[in-house]
Amino acid sequence: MHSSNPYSNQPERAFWSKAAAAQHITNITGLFDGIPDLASLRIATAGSCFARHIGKFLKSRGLQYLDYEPAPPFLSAAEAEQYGYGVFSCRYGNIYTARQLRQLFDEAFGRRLPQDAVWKKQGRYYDALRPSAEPRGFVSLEELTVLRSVHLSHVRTMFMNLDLFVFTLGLTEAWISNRDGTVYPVAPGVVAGEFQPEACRFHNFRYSEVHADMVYFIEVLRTVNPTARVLLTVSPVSLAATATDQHVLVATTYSKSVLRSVAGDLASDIPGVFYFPSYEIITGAPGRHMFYNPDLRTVCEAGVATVMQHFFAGSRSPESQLATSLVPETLRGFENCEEAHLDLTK
Amino acid sequence: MKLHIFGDSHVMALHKGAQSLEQKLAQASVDADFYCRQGPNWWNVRTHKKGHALRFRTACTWEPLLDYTVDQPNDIYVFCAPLHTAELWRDPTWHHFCPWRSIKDFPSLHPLSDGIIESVIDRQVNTTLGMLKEMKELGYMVLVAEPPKPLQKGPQVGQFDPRVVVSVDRFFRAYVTRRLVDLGVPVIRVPEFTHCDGLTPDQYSDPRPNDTHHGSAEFGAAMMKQIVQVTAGVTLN
Repeated sequence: MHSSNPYSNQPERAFWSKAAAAQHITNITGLFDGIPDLASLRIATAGSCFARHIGKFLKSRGLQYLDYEPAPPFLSAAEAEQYGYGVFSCRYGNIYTARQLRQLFDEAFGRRLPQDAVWKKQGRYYDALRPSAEPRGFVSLEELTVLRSVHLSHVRTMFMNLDLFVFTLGLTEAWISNRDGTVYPVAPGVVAGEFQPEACRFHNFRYSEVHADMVYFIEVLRTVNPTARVLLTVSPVSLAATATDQHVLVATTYSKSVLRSVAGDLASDIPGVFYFPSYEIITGAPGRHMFYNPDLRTVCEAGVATVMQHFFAGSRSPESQLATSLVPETLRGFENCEEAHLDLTK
Repeated sequence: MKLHIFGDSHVMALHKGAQSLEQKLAQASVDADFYCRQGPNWWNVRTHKKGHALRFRTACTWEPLLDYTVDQPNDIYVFCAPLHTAELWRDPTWHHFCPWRSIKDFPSLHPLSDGIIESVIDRQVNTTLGMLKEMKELGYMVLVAEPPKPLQKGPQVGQFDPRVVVSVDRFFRAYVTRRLVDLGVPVIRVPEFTHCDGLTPDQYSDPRPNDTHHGSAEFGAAMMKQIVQVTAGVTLN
C-alpha cells in the first residue's frame, strides 16, 4: 500500500524523535544554514550581555570583527572589559531592547537628540544610555558630552562600513523617560541616577512595537549602507527581575517569545536578514538546561562554546574547521550585565 | 633635624644634590640619610608592623631587593614614588590615545576619560598610598617629594607628542596629590624654575641621553633646598 503525507519528504532534521530526542545536544547538526562568505565580511556586534561572547569568538577565529573603539594597551583584559572595551564593536554597552538600538542609530545620525540621558552618582555624571561603560562616571557634563560625541562618530562609521550586523535581542521590558521617551538600558537608580516615579515609566514592549522598531532600524541602516546584512539572535539569559506583576519565569517566557517571534519573522520576510538559534541551543529540551550556570540564568562557557560551534559549523567557511576549539581564556561570565544589578538592589 | 629620604630612583638625584650642599646642610643642622630602590619595588611593597616600627619589603624581583624600616618617630620621612609619572606617560598607549581634554588638538587619537586614567594610576599607587596611610596611623611625619617634570628630551625618546606627555603628567600629579591630601600627606613641589611649559630643561635633567625622567644633581640640589625649606623652615642659599 502506498502511503504518503506532507512530511514524507522532510529531511531527518524535521523530526523531533530523530533530530532532537535521539541526539545528545553536542551531536545535533543542521541548526543553522550559515552566512555565505562569512570570512570575507566585516562584522559588527551589539545586543544584550549574551552578545558579548559573540564578538570575542569572532575575533578569536580571525574573522574581520570590527572594533572601532579599541582598548588602550595599558588596560588589562579584565579592566578593558570593565570599561566596555572589546565586548562590542563600539562602546555602547548592552543594548537590550530594539528601541534602544533604534534610538542609538537615530542619535548617531542626528535624527534624535536625547534630552534626558544623564544620571548622577556621588558627584560624578553617568551616560544613562551606557551607564556601565564608565564605572567611575565622568567628572563633568563636558567630559560626558565630548566622549559621547566621539563614541557616536564611531557608531556612525560602524553602521556605514559593516557588512554583517549581529544583534542579540535581550529584553522587552524597559524604563522610559517621561520627558522625551528615551529608553534606558536599566532603570534609573540601579547603576546610577535616582528613581523618581514621576520621571520615568515602565514599559513592556509588545510584538508589534519590537517588530516595528527592528523594521525601522533595518530600513534606516540600509539608507546608509544598502548592502548591510543583519543576523539576529535572542539571548537565552532569563530576566534578572521583572517589573511586571507576573512571576519572573512567566515574564521571561513572554519576553523571549516576543523577541524570538520578531526575529524569526524578520528573517523570513526581509532579504539579507538571518536568524541564528543560539536561544534554542541553550534553552531547548535537548540541552536539559546543562548550559546554565547554577543560577539557572546565565550561560556557562561550555554553552557559549557550543553556540559558537553551531555558528561556525553553519558558515561552511574555512573557519568551521576551528569550530571545536576551546573557549578563549579571556571568556568570562556576565559580570557586566547591567540588568543583573536588579537582583542585587533588594 | 633628621631627614630620612627614601623611595624610588628619584632619590638618587636628591642624594647627589645633598652631597653638593653638604656644608650648608651641616650649618643648618640638617642630617639626611637616603635609601633608594627601583620604583616597582615600592608599587608592590608589603608592610610588616612591629610595635611602632614599620618594615617595608617586597616580593618584586628588581635587584637589590627592598628592605627598609621606619622606626624613628621623632624624625621626618620624605618619600619619593607616588608621583613618579613616567610609567604612565611613556606607555605606548599614548601613540594612539590622549586624555579627553586634548581631543581638539589630536582629533585622530582616541580620547580617554579621566576615570580610565585614574584607574591605571590607582593600579600603580594604591599599595604605596596604603603604606603611607599606615605610617600616618602610627604617627610618623611623612611627606612626598615630587620628581622632576618630564624631561624635555623625554617625549622624543619614546616618540610621543610633548603636549600629550605634559597633559598626562599634569593629570597624574593633580590626581595623586588630591589622594595624598586626603591622607594628610603634604607634597613638596618641584621649584618653579626647574621646569618650563610642563617640561624639565636640560640643565635640570639627567645627562644620560636615553633618560626620560630623572633629575640632574643640580635639580637634586634645588629640590633638597625645597625639602629643607618645607620641613625645617630654613632657606639654604
